Amino acid sequence: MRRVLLVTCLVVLLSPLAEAQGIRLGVGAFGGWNIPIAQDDQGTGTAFGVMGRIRVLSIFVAEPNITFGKWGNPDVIRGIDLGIEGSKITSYGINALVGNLPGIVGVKPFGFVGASIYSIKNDDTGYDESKLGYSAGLGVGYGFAPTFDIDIRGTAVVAPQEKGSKKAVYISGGLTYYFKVGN
Amino acid sequence: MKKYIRYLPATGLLLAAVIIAGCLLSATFVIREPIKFTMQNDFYFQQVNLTDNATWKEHGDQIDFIDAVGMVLYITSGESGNVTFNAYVDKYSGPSSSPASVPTTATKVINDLQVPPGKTKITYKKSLTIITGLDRLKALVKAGQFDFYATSSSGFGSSFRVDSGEVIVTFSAHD
Repeated sequence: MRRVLLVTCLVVLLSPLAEAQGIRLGVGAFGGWNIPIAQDDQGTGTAFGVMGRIRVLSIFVAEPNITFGKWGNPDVIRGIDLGIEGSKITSYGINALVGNLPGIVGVKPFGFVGASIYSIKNDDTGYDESKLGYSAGLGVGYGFAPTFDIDIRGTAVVAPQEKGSKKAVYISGGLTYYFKVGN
Repeated sequence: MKKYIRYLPATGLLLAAVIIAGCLLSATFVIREPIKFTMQNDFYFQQVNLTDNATWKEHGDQIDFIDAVGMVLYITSGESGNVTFNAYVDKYSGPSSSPASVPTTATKVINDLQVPPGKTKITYKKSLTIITGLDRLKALVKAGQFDFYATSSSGFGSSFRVDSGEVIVTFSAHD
């Protein structure tokens, strides 16, 4: 495990930054699975959204994003069929990434942390909470061209509530298009 | 290099799992308690006790909040027209309680539900739209035990009866 982490760090830090010159800004879209963690009353659903990608320092990328998620209808729980829909989870916030730099062709592993306002709402139960939460994860991108990337990532989401929190894992894939800005 | 890179998504999930495990201080549970009304002096009465539920026993002392309270009711009415049905909750009055009427301190949770002749099922989803006094109901549910009363405009216990039902509680608790 230590070797894997070491190699990951080296790949991130020694990426050919020179290739990224002039490309600092991108826009993208993503989508995938939205898996509730330890929530009896929610099933696996979907999440999709849009994001911007801005290289802010040599190895950092800021990723403002809006995500529209919905958990699935709950399964029958200990014989209880609730017959209601899963909650909607909408968020807007920003991720800070190490790696997956714009403008680089090839494999680009990355890690990230994020902060977002998470709004969880269920029309059937009337549940409605909105609070600042956080996320973290890892992924790997692949640059087909200096202006076009894809990536897959796993994101752990913790959305605090009035007390306690709701948690989920997003497994998503995304596409990003980059603009050449500056020299 | 590729050998290591292909482990990254799995490593990401592992990291996510570790983060979530570290934050797994709360979870959401759904439990149910049967409704078995008894006739007490011309009205329905039951003491609902959630504390015997296995999930409640495990997490009842660490409840953060009650997410939702609903119920399922199976009602049979032999009346020729609609019957007006009301339900109330109040704090647990003790094991030997035998009330003769709905106390003035009770909170109405079903208000003038019109029950047509024949068999009627109030689903959990439907109940969420008709339950009133939700703040008091959630507070009583959080206490684990409460008194549950019901009245109907006619046919008490004979031509009109609540055959069965369940109180369904969704709550979030920490470990």
